[in-house]
Amino acid sequence: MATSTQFTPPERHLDIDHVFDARLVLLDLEAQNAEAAIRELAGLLLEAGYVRGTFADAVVAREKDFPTGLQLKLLGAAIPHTYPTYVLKTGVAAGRLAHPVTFGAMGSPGQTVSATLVLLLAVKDADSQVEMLQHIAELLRSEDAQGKLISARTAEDVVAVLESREVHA
Amino acid sequence: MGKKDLEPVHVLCICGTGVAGAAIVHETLRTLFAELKIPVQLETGASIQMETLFETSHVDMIVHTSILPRKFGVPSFLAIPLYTGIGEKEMLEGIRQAAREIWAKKLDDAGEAQ
Repeated sequence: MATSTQFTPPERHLDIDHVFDARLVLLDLEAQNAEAAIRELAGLLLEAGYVRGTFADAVVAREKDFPTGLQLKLLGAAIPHTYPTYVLKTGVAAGRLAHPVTFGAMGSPGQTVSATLVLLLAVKDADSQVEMLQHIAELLRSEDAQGKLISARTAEDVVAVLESREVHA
Repeated sequence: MGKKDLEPVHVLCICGTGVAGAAIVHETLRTLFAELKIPVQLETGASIQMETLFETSHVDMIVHTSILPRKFGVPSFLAIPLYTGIGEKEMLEGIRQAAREIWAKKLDDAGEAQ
């Protein structure tokens, strides 16, 4: 994607229909390690028709090369994902772990993050989904959203936080 | 004899897959450069494409969420703060400052080539 940008950014619409879904949420997820957590969440995306059967392996492989652990202010998180070729439609599976799991830290070789929140991203087309990705980044940055995800009690609660457009710092 | 063509600031937006992180960086920079009113050419890519991207045309700046294979001798910014919020203001200010300096130099160079 190469663009020349002039001075006025055009308006864009945030399209997050069906990206977040209570069927794609696991609270109190039990997983021994990062790979297990990824595979559990990938299973939800596969069942619901968001990804191909090869998606889980691809995410696990990519996580080894380019880890996605993020140390947020209030908790550790991870945003594993892979190339669009493994994705049928864009969606996000969210897992809150019963016991934190170790992920490599994004951009910091040798460092790790103890993750409680895993957002498994299935992105069909980054160019057209850029607002959705920006939305996820905003959510992750927000201490308010972090707190709500920690204390969410149901899958619907989690989806409500993930979908909320009023993201406060 | 005319002025040397004024090229936009060329920025590579890089992440592991060249997909998600690069798109987030791209979107952030699109807005940032628009606010600065500095023309920019934003290009997304994966870490493994870095050598090719760097050789293909002159690169002024790199903003990346994955580790780069080596130093490229241009201002480079690790953009993890876009995800964590920690150190975000400082990083964005660093990018703005670098963008202004690069653009000022381009204007200077264009002015000299008459």
